[in-house]
This record gives sequence, C-alpha cells and structure tokens, in this order.
Amino acid sequence: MIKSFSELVKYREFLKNLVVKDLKVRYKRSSLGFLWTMLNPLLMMLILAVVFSTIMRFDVKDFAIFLLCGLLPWNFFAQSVSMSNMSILNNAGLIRKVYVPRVVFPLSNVCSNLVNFVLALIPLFILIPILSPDKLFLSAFFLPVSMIIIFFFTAGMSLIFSTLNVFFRDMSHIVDVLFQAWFYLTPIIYPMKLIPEKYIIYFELNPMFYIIRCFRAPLFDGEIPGMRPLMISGAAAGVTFLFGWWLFHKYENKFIHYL
Amino acid sequence: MNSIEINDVSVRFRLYHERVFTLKEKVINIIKRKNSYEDFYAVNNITVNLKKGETLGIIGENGSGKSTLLKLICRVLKPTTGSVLVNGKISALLELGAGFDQELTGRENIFLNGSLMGFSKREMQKKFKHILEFSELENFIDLPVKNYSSGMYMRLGFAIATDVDPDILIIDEILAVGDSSFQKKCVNKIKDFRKQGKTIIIVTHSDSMIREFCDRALWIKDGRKQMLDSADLTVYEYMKFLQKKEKRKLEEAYERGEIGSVTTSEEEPKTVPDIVPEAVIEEASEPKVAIEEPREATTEEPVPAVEEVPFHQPQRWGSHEIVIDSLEFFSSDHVKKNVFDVGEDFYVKIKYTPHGKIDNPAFGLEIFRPDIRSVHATNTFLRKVKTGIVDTPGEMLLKYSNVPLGEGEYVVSACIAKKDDHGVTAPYDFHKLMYTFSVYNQLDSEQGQIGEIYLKHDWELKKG
Repeated sequence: MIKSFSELVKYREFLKNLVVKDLKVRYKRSSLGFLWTMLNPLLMMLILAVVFSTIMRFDVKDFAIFLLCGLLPWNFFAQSVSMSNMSILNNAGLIRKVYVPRVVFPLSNVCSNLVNFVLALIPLFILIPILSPDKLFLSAFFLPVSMIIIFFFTAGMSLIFSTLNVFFRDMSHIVDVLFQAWFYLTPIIYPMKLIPEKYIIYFELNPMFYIIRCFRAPLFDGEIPGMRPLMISGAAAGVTFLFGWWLFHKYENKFIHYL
Repeated sequence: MNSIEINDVSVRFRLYHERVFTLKEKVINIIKRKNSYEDFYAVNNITVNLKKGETLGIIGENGSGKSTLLKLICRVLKPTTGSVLVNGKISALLELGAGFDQELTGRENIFLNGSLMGFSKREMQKKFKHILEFSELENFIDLPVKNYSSGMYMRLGFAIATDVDPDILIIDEILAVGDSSFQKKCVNKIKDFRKQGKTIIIVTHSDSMIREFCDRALWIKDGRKQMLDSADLTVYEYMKFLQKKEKRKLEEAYERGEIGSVTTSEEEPKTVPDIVPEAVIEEASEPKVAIEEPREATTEEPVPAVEEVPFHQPQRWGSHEIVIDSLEFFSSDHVKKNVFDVGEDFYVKIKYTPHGKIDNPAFGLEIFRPDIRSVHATNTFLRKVKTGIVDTPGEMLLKYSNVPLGEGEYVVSACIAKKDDHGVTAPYDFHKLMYTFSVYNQLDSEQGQIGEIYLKHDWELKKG
C-alpha cells in the first residue's frame, strides 16, 4: 500500500500531464473553451429550474440553488466513475508497452473532473448573491472538507469499476443503469422531506445521501453538517477508497492479459 | 552488482478458445465447468544475470518470446513464476513513440514522455534543447505528432529515450527505419552508452548488429533459453539453425510441388501488354514481346516468403514453333532436385517439342537473384553451339560444375529462339522467371563459406 502510494508520487508529473491533456482535449476546437464548464451547469440549472418550479413543483424556496448544491457534486461523482470505467481499456496501447502505475489512469479522470467541479462551483457562487442574497453563508467555508470526502469516495468507486470493466465488459452498461437508479434514489432533485417516513431507513443506507447532505447543509441551509452525516460519509469514503485501491492493485497485473 | 537479475522466470498465457468478456458467458462457463482455455508458456524458465555495463543481444525467431522477455524487464508484464530484479532506471525503446499522444505537439510529447519515465518538468526542460538537436526536428516541434512521418516519429522517440540518461537501455528492433545518417547517429549513441558503462539489451534480427555491439547473446527458442554465450558463438549457432530449417522447408515445398512447377492459368497475365505487334524483332539479346499467346500464358507461385524481395511476375510468350515442355534441375548423378549445396555440380535439362522443322534454334538460360539481378546468362549462339535442324522432340542438357553461387534463392528464365547470324532474336518460346532453385551453404562442412559467390580456396598455415 505504502509502496504503491510512493510510486504514484513518483509519477505525479505524468498524472498532472494526463489531467491537463484530458482538459485540453475536452475543450479542443470549442470557441468558448473552459467557459463551457461554467456555462454548462448554468444552462442545465435554467432548464431544471424552469421545469421544476413551473411543472413539477416541489415546495422548495430558491429551488435553483437547492438543485445546484446537489447536482454539481453528483455530476462530479457520476462523470468520474463513468469515465474511469473505460480508462484502462482506453489506455490499453500505453499499458501494453510502457510501465506506469496503472492507477494513474482512473485517478487522472477523477482529478480532471475535480477541476471541472471546482470551475462549475464558480457560477453557483455568482448566482447566490444575485438570486437570493440571504443564502450567502459563512458555512460555505466548510466546503473543502466536503470536497475531500466526495473525492475519496469517487476515487474509490472509480477504481472498483475500472478494475471490473477490464474483466467484464458489461460493466459499462450496468454502470449507466445503476447510476440512473442511484441518482433518483438520492435526494438531489427533490428535498429529503419528500421521502416517506417508513422508507427513510433504506435511503440512509446510501452513502451519497450523506455526502450530498455535506454539500447542501453548508451551502443551502447555512449550517455545518451534523456529526452523523459527516462521520458516515467520511467513513464510507475512506472504506470505499481503501477497498478500491486494494482491489485495483490486486488485479492490475492481470489487466494486460485481458486488453 | 548485477544490473538485471532474471531468475527462473515463466510467463503463462491463457489461450482462450472463445474469449469470455461478458458476465453471462462467465457464469455459463462456471456452471458447465468448462475450461475454455489452454495454457501457453511464452517464456519458460529463463534465467539471465546481467552485470552492470554489459550488453546483451537477444535473438530468436518471431514469436519465440523475445518481446515478452523485454516486457518483463520493463515491468509491463509480471512473471507468472520467478522474479525479475532491476537495479537502475530503465529507458525502453519497445516501440518508438509508444507513449506519444497523437493530438499533442512534439514539444508537449517530449514532456509527456519524460513524465512517463518519472521526470519532472524542470528536469525535462534541461534536456529539451538536446533532444531537439538530436532529433533534428527544430522546424516541426510545434506540430502535432500525428502529422509526423514515421522517420520523424522514430527520431523523436529515440532522442527522448536516450537523452533521459537511463542506467539501462532496452532496444527492440528499432533501427530498421530511418535514413542512414540517423541510423549512424543512433549507432554512435549506443556506442557512447557502452563506453559510459551502461547496461544495454538489444533485440534484433540483424546478426551483424549483435556481433558488433554485444558481449553476450541469448538465443530464445519457443520461450526457452536455447543458448547463452558469447555473441559470436550464439549468432553462429543460430544462423546455422536457421539455414538448416530453411533448407528443410524448401525441400518440403518442392516435394509438395508448391514451388518450381509450372501451372497453366486461364487468366491473362496483367503484365502482358494489350497491343501485340506482329513478331517484333529486336536487337537486344533479351526479347521483350513477340506474339502473345494468352491461353498458354503461365503464372507461377512465387517463392515462399522467405526473402521479402518482390520479383516480377513469371511470363511466357513466343511463336511456339518449338516449345519448352519442361525444365528441371538435376545433380551430377542425375537425381532431380531443387536445393543444391554450395559448390555442387548442377545440371539443367530442357525438354522441347518442335512443330515442324526448325533451323538451328538457339537455347538460352539466365539465372537471377530474387530481386531480378542477373547473375549469369548463356546461350548456344554465344557458345557457338550449332543445333542444326530440329524436327523431333528431345532434351537439351546444360551442365555446370562446382556451381559458384552463394547461398540463396535463384530464379531462372529459359528460352528457345531464332537467331540469325547477326544475333537478332525472335523467340519461339520464352519462359521468363518461371523456375526456381536454391543454394544452401553447409557451414559445418569443409566447403562452408559465407557470401554471394562461392570461391574455391584453401587455407594454408606455415608455422615458425
């Protein structure tokens, strides 16, 4: 474990290059470039805000901000895992010829998505004072902690799925469906209070339930998330990451035979 | 201290009859308890220790496990059993430009490749100028590498791989491309590395390169260590093995009649021109086109892909007033064969059938290397042999003694032609490049020698 970490540190420059490359390729030949990262959630939010505040109405004040607080972290999570899922297969050419710690491939995807995530938070902080100045909370400074939690949870899941997908190519299809269901089973577009009392116990089995809470509490409710969501999401992130790391390194030497 | 220690290493591949990539199939196979694979050892119990500063050459046929062994050393592959210990930084030229990203420019790729080997941006900035100089790509460095020619690609790859100052350099069959001046540069660079006492491993099919650079050579056959000895000795044994194998293969092919026999094809050969002049008479000793006989035009299987020199399509043409029925090769004791030893006696028998009375037909024969380089030509006119009136079928025997042809494949053209006193030729039947034979050099016999021609010679030692 320590050895594989120190190796990753040695190859940090390569990891950095992969992330930069990832970001460059994504916005290549688009005239707005990086602006899209910020524009995209804005437009998404506009659509959702219109839909949810006029047609499917949840009784939530400042719904747009409510939605973004949940949607942006979820997008980071879902996009990272879906990209990492293919990361080993997409880099098969390199893996077959050059030695690099393979773990950099899924991790680079998570990191580039993290950059996007941070950029996407900017329009949120621009919108808050415009739409509802009363949502400008000091508790927003808690955000870095939430980011660390979601980063490790996402990295862990990415490692797990990138490993599985090498051996079972169906994984990419399963992930699509799984994440669709997961999205609706997590209170992102709807408030927690809409969940029927008797089901709430099942919802609480979902780590993303708490992780989203860690974002929504400081940003939307203006409070530090409680001890319970913080502990549970932190533990979930740690366990997932360690398990993913272990699984990935256990099977990475077999990858080459399946590429 | 050993630079590389390979201890009893094996790599097992599972060869799946049907590759299982989906969950469903996997589950079905588990239920059926079906083993849908065979085990295959790409590398089998190989042990090699390399001292620091040593140069090792690896030889072996395609698919013998050379590249797999290199991948083990580069850590791309983990051995199934055994261990590989490497002391020092490796720079591998497994495939030049393996780590390149097509979309990025040459400059960006230098840094990407550097980071691939664990170098920081600052370290690479120091090396950048030198890499640029060595690769001679000053004008193209800011172009995406997808626009590079394969030569440019290779130059950049080689420049990066050698400029990062590795302790161990691994080279896999790379100097095959690129112009000669760059090749020279690369060779000099490798020599520099040797002088600096770096460990080098070279995989190549070029025996001269191994002999020139390597201290020792490892010959791998079917994944196993066949021989590990001085470069000269290993290469010698390996070449001998290859020659024997080649001879066997050729003999088998001749026996099966796959090569050397003439088959009639209904199709018109593409090389025969459309416009056929009526009996063109040319002054050249080799006629080009006379009367076309598409129905009897023949094609022949080319020599098996032993040498990859392309040679022209066999063709047949002529007025057919007299035809060559067959051409066969014999040894001096009249045994039909197509593979001869260097320096052996060698007979050619041409059977012919005339249609009518032919006055003094000239018989000719020319021997070519597979790249259609003529090595010998003769005809009865030139040798002042009178053939007189020919009106019944017969055979012409052409005898060579101690054939001084070096080892290799040969292609033969034969013809019967009308020659008047001025040497003007009109072919009756021309068989262009329709026959083949090969010469095999029995290195371990007393007659063994190397080279394009066989010279009878003796060594004489005078002591004291």
